[in-house]
Amino acid sequence: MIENLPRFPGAIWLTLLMGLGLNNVPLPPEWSYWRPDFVVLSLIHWALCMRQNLNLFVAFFMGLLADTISYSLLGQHALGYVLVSYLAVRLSLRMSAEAFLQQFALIFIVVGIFMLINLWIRGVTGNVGPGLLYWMPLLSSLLVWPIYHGILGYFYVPRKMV
Amino acid sequence: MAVDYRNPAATKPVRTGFAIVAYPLQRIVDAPFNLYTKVTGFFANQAHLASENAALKEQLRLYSVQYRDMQVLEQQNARLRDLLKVDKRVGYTFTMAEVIAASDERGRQVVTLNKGSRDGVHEKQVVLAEGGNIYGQVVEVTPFSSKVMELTDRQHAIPVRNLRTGMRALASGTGKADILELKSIVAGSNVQDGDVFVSSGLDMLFPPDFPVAKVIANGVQYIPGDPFANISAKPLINFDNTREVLLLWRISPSPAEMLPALSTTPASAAKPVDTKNKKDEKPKKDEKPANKPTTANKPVERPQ
Repeated sequence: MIENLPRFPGAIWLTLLMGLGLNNVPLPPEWSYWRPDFVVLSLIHWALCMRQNLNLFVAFFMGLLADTISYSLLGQHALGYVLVSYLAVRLSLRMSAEAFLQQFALIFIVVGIFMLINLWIRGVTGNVGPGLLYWMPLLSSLLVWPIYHGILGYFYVPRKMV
Repeated sequence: MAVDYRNPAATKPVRTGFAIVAYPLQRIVDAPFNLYTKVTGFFANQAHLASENAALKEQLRLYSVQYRDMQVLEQQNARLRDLLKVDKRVGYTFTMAEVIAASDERGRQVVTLNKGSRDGVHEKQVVLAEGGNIYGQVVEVTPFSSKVMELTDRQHAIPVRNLRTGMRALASGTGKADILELKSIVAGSNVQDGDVFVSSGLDMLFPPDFPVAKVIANGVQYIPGDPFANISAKPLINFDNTREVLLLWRISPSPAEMLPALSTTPASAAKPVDTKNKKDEKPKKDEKPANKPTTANKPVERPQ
């Protein structure tokens, strides 16, 4: 069995913060509709590669941070991120980390659930989204995933267990 | 989440704490853009700079003369107000702040500024931009940064007045950066395309007579069966491109002092438009005693 280890202590934190940073890079409005949630992609990446190291409290903390930055309802992203980590870890056991088609299916499901929950929370609090455009990140997540997955590959080292 | 929705004040400490944690991250994300602005500024064309400098100098000269005239007017105004036993006029001071981050949440138009409570920023402070147009108000303050809700945020509304007719209305945000909505306007009220709406100051928060929005072409719409007209107006600020904003401090001890300043507006032309939003509005100036004792001489809380 192959077990992966973080390249340096705090690698997970660093990538999650990096994802949060990427989420907040200013973009023109017509582009920002296409921006995938990079924190979600990071969480999925770590769920696939190092599921034993992914901490739900870290995901929750990141969610609260994202909520304060975007001034959304406190806990909206936090709930989403925790669910994403949980689902990704559960589903990652059923597939090989190398098969891209399976990964795409996983991302499609997990990101879809994340966005659906966000949409529900927004709907309940009276903040209705812009229709079909809301779902564009679902597509762009799939497009960005191979590149982002490759970049994040730097942050862990595979180790052979005896 | 429920607590935050029902009672935002309860979760405020949590928000502030996380905002402090998030501030370095926001600075890091902003750093490349900041650097780009600085570098392009450094390598700007010399001839262009020189001509710009000349133009600015000329403008400054013009403004300094106008300012002198303004000072004379102000003194005259103060003297006349004294004679009439009316409260002193409210003055303002400004500080520049920079937008370092914008919210990515749909329907949210909230930006982060690089000035916080240590610079004297407080909640519900008014923010202006480009040529003195109203930008929004401060909703959250940390020691280093503050969050400003723009006029176009879905949860924001500002009482406005039609510059042409004096009709009052409430301009609420739509969540889109370029459209404000004026709801519940009585059909048949005189609003035309191109009308400019200025702040009315009835909320005791925004200073009166600052430009807010302009009705867009075909912006006045009637839906059959609806007794009210829906009016779309375009804010006078390009919210997507604004990077520098002005924080505004009122040189007056309390907002209550603002009322007499309102009497300079054409009050006779102002009519109440709707009954729905009435309860949000403060009592009209006519009902206030015209000459109440002046307390405007108290020290002002000013930025350092």
